[in-house]
Amino acid sequence: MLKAKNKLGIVFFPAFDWAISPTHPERQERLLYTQDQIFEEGIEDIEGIKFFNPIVAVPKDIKRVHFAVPTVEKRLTESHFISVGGAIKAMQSVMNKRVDKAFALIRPPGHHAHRVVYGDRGFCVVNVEAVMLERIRQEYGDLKVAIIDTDCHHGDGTQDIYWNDKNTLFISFHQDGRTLYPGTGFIDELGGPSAYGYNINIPLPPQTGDEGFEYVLDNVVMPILDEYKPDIIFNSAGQDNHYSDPLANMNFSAKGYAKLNEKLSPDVAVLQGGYSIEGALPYINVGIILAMAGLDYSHVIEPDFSPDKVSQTRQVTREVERLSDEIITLWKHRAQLAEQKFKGKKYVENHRQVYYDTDNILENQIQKFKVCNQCSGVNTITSSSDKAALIFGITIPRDACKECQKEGRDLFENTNKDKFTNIYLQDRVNDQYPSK
Amino acid sequence: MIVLGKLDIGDKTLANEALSQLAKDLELSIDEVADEVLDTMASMIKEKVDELLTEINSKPVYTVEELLHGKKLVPQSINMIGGPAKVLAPRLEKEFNITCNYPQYYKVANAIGAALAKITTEINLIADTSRGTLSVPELGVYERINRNYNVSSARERALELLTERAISKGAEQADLVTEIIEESVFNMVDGFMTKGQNIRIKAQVKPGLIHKLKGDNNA
Repeated sequence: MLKAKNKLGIVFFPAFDWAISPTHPERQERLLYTQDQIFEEGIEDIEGIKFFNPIVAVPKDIKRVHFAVPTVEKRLTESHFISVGGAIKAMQSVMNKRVDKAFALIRPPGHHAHRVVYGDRGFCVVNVEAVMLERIRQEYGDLKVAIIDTDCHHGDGTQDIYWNDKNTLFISFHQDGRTLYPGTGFIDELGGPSAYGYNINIPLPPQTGDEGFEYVLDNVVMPILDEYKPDIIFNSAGQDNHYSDPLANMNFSAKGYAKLNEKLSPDVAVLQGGYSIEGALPYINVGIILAMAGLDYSHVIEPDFSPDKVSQTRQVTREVERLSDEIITLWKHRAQLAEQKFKGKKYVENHRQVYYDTDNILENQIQKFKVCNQCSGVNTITSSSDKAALIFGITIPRDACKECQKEGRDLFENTNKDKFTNIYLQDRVNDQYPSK
Repeated sequence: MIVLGKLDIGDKTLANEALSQLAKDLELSIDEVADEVLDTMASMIKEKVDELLTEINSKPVYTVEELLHGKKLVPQSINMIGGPAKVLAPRLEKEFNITCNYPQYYKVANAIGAALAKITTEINLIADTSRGTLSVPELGVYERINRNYNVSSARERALELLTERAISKGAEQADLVTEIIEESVFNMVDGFMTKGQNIRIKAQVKPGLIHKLKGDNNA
């Protein structure tokens, strides 16, 4: 009988009774064929692989990460609380040492959900991995975490949430934003004043194949992780880099995904996108499960696989190499770059627009970060949507100094309610989330 | 049980001998050891039952409905059968803290149950309307269906095939209670076009007794 080298926990929750709409790519049967594959390959019978049911997350879990407008209860369905609960359960089972690693195969996904949530964008309402991570930090203390987002779309929501948090390194590799939703994720998006350089984007050219992904992993991701030394490595395991995905244009294979997970060796993986539900997901998921469990995945091959489907042109190879060099150079010089950019500044302001494609909402945001030499600094978001909301959100970060804590609380007390539809305070130091 | 005089079978001398060594090692009387053994047995049974309940209650679920409103098993009473039922009943009652019953003929209840049990069986039907196939692998049934085949025809066909199978195994038509225990229907999508339905049905002959018997309550 097969025995897993690493004890692996799997939370498998396909939510067969939930969908955005019947023919939407994020639909009921998205994980059906994955389920068949898991059963047929006898994954359940492998010694050392355990299945867990999700727990149900609570509104407070969501408020640690999001300003949901007008309220958490109005924006989320039961499925979102369960999807998040599935990720929490996966990570809890690792933290309390019931298993060595865990993979949450859950839906709906989350990595496009930003700090402010007016509705659904890129099939995401709530940032599953961030909500999971902040709940775990609340329960187990402040961990140093690296999030590696392998979804084909830029993990713009996760980037926004950890923009100014040095204790959460975010690396996203994705198809170049000039050619794919959400149109962001360029290498100069490096982070806020207290975490500049800790937000790393790897925008790959379309048609990047197995070889290109491996190159990036070996020459960018692994060296950075070796230096960063996270307590936990976390994979946002989107599966739409697959050559058969209907929404993207990359040439990655199931075995490539498995190999990536073997090298990366994440403690926790959470499924993100991936809409080739018959041709890719069953094979990629089984590949990731085997790789995480430390088992042989060399026989995981898609029925329609051929080497030319995962090949890349020489031009792509050169571009991937050039890009990797550039990113590593930025990483090495992050301290100097931050110094140049923020020297002498007390506050840093970002103006930006966020479009909610699924729900057709346009949001205008001003984020303001305090540059504090004691902590990550209190920060605020003023945001308006074209659906007539104007909100003000204040975040006191986990490591906030006394002064920043006071500044945040005073802002919440003293900001006039007449100007805004909603005012929110995220007090991460005291784990309190009042609003008015 | 033999040492304590609660069960009159086997060789009492041998039983005494077996426990006397243990009693000596533990510096207890033989009766005390025998008593301790029974208590340990009860707590081991409790542990195993709890494990089984946890396993049943954490059975994987795949829908929001089941996860939020799924049934949880919480035993309200225990029914015991088998040789030691009468002796163990009071101890299990204490251990589980719920009522523990056993029938008058507890010693042979198991054998009677086996003799009276209904023939039961289960089948899994999968219909794929885009391929136009219906299959029940257990029966080696592979049939053609048309594009408009739907879940209610599949349900009907599953129960029909199940009944045929149960009768071929020796079940009586009159005793048969058939039911659908799992059912799911998925739209299959190719690119962005719906191309058919994937229907899955699990049907079973409800387990039970050929004749309805009512047990006594001697607890």
